[in-house]
Amino acid sequence: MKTLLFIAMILMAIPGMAQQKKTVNVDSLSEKKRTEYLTKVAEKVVKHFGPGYYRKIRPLVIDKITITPQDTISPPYMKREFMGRTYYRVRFPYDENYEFFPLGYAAEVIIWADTGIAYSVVFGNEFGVVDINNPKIYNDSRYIMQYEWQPPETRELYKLIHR
Amino acid sequence: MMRKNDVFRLGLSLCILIASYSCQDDEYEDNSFNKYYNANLNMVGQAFIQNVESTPAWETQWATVEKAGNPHPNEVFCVYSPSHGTFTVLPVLEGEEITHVVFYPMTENSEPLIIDGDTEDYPEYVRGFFQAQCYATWEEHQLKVDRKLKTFVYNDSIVPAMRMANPSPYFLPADIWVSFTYYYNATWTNLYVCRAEIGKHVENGLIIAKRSFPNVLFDFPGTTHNVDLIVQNVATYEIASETAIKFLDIAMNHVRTLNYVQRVWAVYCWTPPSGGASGGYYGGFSNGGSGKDSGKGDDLASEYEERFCPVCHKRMSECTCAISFRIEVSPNNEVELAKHYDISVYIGGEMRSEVANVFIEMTKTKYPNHWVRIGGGQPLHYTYKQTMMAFNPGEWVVQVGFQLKSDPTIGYSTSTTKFKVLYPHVDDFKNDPIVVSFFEDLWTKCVSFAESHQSTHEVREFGAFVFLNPDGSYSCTEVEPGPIVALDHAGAHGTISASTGDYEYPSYWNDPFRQKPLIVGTMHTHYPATWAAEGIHFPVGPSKKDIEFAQKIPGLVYDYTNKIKAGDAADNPENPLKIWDYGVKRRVLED
Repeated sequence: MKTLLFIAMILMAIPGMAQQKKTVNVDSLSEKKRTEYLTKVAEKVVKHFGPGYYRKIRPLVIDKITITPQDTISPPYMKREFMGRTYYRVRFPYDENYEFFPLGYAAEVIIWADTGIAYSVVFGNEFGVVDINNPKIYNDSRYIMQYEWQPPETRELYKLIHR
Repeated sequence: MMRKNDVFRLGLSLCILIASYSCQDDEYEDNSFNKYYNANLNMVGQAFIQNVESTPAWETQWATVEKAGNPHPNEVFCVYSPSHGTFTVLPVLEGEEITHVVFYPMTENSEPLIIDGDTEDYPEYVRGFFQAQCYATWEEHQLKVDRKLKTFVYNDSIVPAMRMANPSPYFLPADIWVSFTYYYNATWTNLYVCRAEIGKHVENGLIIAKRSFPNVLFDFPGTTHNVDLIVQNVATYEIASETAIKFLDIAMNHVRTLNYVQRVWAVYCWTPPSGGASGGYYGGFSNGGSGKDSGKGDDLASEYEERFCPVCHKRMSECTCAISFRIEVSPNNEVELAKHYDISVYIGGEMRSEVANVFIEMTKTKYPNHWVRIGGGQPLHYTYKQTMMAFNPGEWVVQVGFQLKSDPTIGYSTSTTKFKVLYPHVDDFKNDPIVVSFFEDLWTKCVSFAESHQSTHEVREFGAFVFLNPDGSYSCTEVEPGPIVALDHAGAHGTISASTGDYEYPSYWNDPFRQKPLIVGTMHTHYPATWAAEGIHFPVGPSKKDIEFAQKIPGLVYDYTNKIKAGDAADNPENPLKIWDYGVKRRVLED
């Protein structure tokens, strides 16, 4: 009986232990370790949600952004929910002689600085998924983005957008 | 030997004889008409004197005229006003200045009326004559006109701005004055014919102007009324006033095509917009864009001097060609829709004075040799101008036909000029209140649809074409909404498409007077992400599909300012909706 109870306690504790393992304060890592970590997480996210957008060109472009009222980078929904929080934006460069993405990158992954958890991914076609750490989303194949090749000449078309 | 008595008798006889001859000379000098017969009367002067002489009591009347000063029959001309009638006017000079004007009404048994600057009681037609500056004909002939005469103005026939303070329609009356040549061998019967013909041309001119401004209603003047214009569907009094003036320009330009017409004036009988509600008289003069225009002879002459022959490249006045035509479109060779432009024809060459009439014809370069005559008439200072309202986009070419005084056959110049009529810039209609309001209505439909389909995450785009109307206003015509799409997977997005051909007003595209609404842009909404499946993130603004459709026509899309995700409120002050524009800035010319 005692043995059964012990096994049950172990099984109940595993999810919590697993969750604890995922949490990493990225800011506390050395620069090298931080880059390695962010790259690893971002690669995993892109390979999962949009494998067609995964590119091997390195280094990835990493920026650190803190959400403030003056912040012009973060979308309104992030400012509404996460004011004051810091994240790392990891972008995947691509070969402009082969294809074209209007956003200027093949994929972009947002990773929270305080937990190291990925929050969103946006692909070169401008569409994306948020709250990607949510198992319901992570495990749903409908959130996987299909890749569509756009030739470099498409760049001229996008010049007709007057932002 | 003669006796003293005989000498006296002879002397007395000689005195009587001399006195008798002297009396005869005096009598001859007193015959004023004989004086003019002997003077250098031109055709007009001779015709006028003959007519005056044929009227009863002419001697008494003429004596009265001569008491006022020195009449100049050579400078007689006729004026016609639908409001006031037809008159022959005779200037009377003191020294070098016209101090009196004699009005001969074209009615049976009417007395001529002599007016000077000090006259206090005079009829309204006299005021109208001077208000319309009809005397400018004399000034062009280097005759000075008494300043007091030139200050005569209407009494009270001005429509004050106060009466037009409400939104359109605006009532804007005008008084038309047409000066025309006193014919050689003219009789009163001829003048009746002229009056009838001018009246008909006024009416036709108004009908032609109506093509350019369908929002303007007019009351045909007949013989006793002003030209009453009613300008509808305009936002402000200023626009109404401007529209009325342009309308009159076009109408009066048609009257100028009569070869005996010298001047056409439209006096604006309404308070100028800049005058506000304070009232005060406002008179204006339609310039009609015509080379025969009033009071602008000097301007035309100097304008002409600045032009160069397109063939020999010398100044038009020094051109050594037999005859040449320079055609210009102003303000420039790219004209915006619903804007006015002038086509000017400058005539050069040794035979330039032989040109009796010019005719302007247009066709699109896409339809070569399908010439459409848009107007014509007598040149002034070897110049002829025509005002047009641009409402048929495309590349046009202009040619000039002409008649010589010695030959009524119409010849054509080899010189042509091209110009473009452009669709409006997207900035001209992007924020137009009608467009914005229509967008808001479409968005309401879009949100309503998404909300009512939230369980299935379905949305659809709503759209319309933006039209420019001939009166310069914009309107929108909704098209079939886009297909229904479920926002339940990554990359899901709506679309919408429509063919301009299904909505464009059919018409003859080579008609310079085409007056059908034109598609100038597209507009459509995107949709809120409020009821999309959890986790979906959307870009905002024009999509690739949108842009592909907008390579020939400007596009507008109503969407959020910044990126959105599922669950964001449909109405979010932190991420407001805005009108994005994309694609070409103007619709590409195709016809």
